[in-house]
Amino acid sequence: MASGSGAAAAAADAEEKESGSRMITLTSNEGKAFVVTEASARQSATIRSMVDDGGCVDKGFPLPNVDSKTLARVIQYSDEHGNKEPHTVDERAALAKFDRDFIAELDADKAFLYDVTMAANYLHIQGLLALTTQCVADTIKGKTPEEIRTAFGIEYDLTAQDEKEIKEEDTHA
Amino acid sequence: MAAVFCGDMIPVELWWEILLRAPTKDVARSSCVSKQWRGIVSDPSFRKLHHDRHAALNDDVSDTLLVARADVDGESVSSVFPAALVSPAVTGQAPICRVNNPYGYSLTNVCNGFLCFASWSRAKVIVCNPVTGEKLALPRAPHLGLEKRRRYSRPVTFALGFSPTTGAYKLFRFADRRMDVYPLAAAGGWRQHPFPHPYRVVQNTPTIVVGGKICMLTANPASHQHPNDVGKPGPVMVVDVASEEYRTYNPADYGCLWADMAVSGFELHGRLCLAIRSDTEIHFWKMPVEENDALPWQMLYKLKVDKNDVRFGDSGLLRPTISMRAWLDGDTHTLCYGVDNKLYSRYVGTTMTMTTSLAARCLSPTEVMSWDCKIRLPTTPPWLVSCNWNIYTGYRPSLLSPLTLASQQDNNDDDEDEGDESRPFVRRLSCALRHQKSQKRRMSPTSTDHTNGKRVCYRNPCIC
Repeated sequence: MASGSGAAAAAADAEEKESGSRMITLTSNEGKAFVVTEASARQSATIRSMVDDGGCVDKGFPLPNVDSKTLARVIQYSDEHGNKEPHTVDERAALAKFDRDFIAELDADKAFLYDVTMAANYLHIQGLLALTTQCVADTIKGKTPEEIRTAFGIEYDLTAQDEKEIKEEDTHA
Repeated sequence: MAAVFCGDMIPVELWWEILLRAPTKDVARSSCVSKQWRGIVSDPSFRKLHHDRHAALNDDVSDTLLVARADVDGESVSSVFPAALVSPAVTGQAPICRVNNPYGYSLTNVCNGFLCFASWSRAKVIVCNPVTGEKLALPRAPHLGLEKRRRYSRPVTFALGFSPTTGAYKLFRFADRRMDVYPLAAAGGWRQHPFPHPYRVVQNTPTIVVGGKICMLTANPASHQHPNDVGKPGPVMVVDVASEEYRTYNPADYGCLWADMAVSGFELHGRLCLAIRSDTEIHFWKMPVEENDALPWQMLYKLKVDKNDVRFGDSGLLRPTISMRAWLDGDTHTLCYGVDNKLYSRYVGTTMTMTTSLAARCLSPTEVMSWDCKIRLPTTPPWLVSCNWNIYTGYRPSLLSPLTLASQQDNNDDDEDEGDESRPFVRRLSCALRHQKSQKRRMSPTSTDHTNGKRVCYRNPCIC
């Protein structure tokens, strides 16, 4: 039993050592293949668990919910965060600057921001998800409910009962 | 703007993530967007997460509240208004809330999104969230061991504190030579600590919660020895909410013997800032960095004041309990100072948000500055003697229900909101503040010559 777990640990160690050089193929819904380092791919909790669970690494991972344009952008983020580990203050500052520029570019194109947010959610890339959701949250700031509905294309579905409740809440809120 | 987002396609957990990151005011408004959003915002676990996230960050600019209290039909009614000089979101000056409490209650301090109302030493303290309108009455504090007839006159101070490191709220009661602490949302109830420091808090100064510490301005311990010392501020007492330890900071070296000083404190970007006024000047001091006594108090600003603003007592001295208020309007970077019914403001720029060295470089503390703007607030009408108002700083709205902090089920009485006669007066007050805001907009923030920019306006506030 003890020797068995020891062997497993040794195997994990070997895998760990190997992982730096191992490449992983991600395929977009359009069939385009992207080859990334494992460190970069491991930014995604979804892929991380698939890699850890079984060795379908060689076959690559099809991502039916992500198109090529979005995937390219997501990989741009995970390469930056996965392949380099910031140690110095300068490196951390550079990474923060990368994030700022990255999100500023996305902010200009809301439809694309939406795609990247959805992809980050699907792939469970925490850092990217935090970045994009914060950007969407900033869009909400100072907007009236009507403006929010217009901006996000949300249908108004509150019933008269809901409205009555909101009115009642408004007397103290 | 065209809808580029297809909002109905976004899964609920993603909206949850997004709304968690939005400021409280926007989240509160968002409950009228759709059924789905309403569901998220009203979810207690969402509210808790949202509060924890924003309370821990502590980076939002805190709001200032104008709270008017009036006794109506044996009840104490507090109307809470935003006192922000510029608040684009506020279209009408409706009160944030109106809180009815039993007679004798008044607002004792503001901690994050909670208002803490207290009365005499053993009355239940009421914690209220003005956004949700929910109230929680906390268990009574223990006896002070005094004869009953003196219970009303015994000076005690209640303060609600929050520690960002532990995420816990605690209610403190400070009395002479003892401190009682009640941790919210925890078992154990009240516990007592000895308190060797002779406790005398300066009147009319709410306790201020700064980064997990409760700060109190104490009166000079020597003030009973000499009448000239009355009202002179003594040390600043700082109690750590998490560890329940306290320490005192010696007052700044004010540079002159000011017999008739009034003091007010507020939070300034994680530090306590004291405004201290004498006959002709008001000084703004920043508290030294904690755990380091070597650093002196730092004077930030020196501004002229008009001694005629204050009604003098029979002795010719300033009343020690003169209600003076000073605060920083974070949205406009404006320093505000109110005394009686006059309100002054001065644009100070963003230097106050920056490092001390930068602020020191931009402004020489020896330079006495003038105010940009002066307005008159409406005076309390004589038929409304019971109405008094005060300014409270450090409000950071949250959606957290105080009921989630109850360790046992306390009955909370939700009284019906009723009209009170103070309303027209309070509306005029808040209109006067809004009037201030339009003045502010015309001021050029880049103007370097502030004497030219000086504007004294005595115009009547708008009639509403």
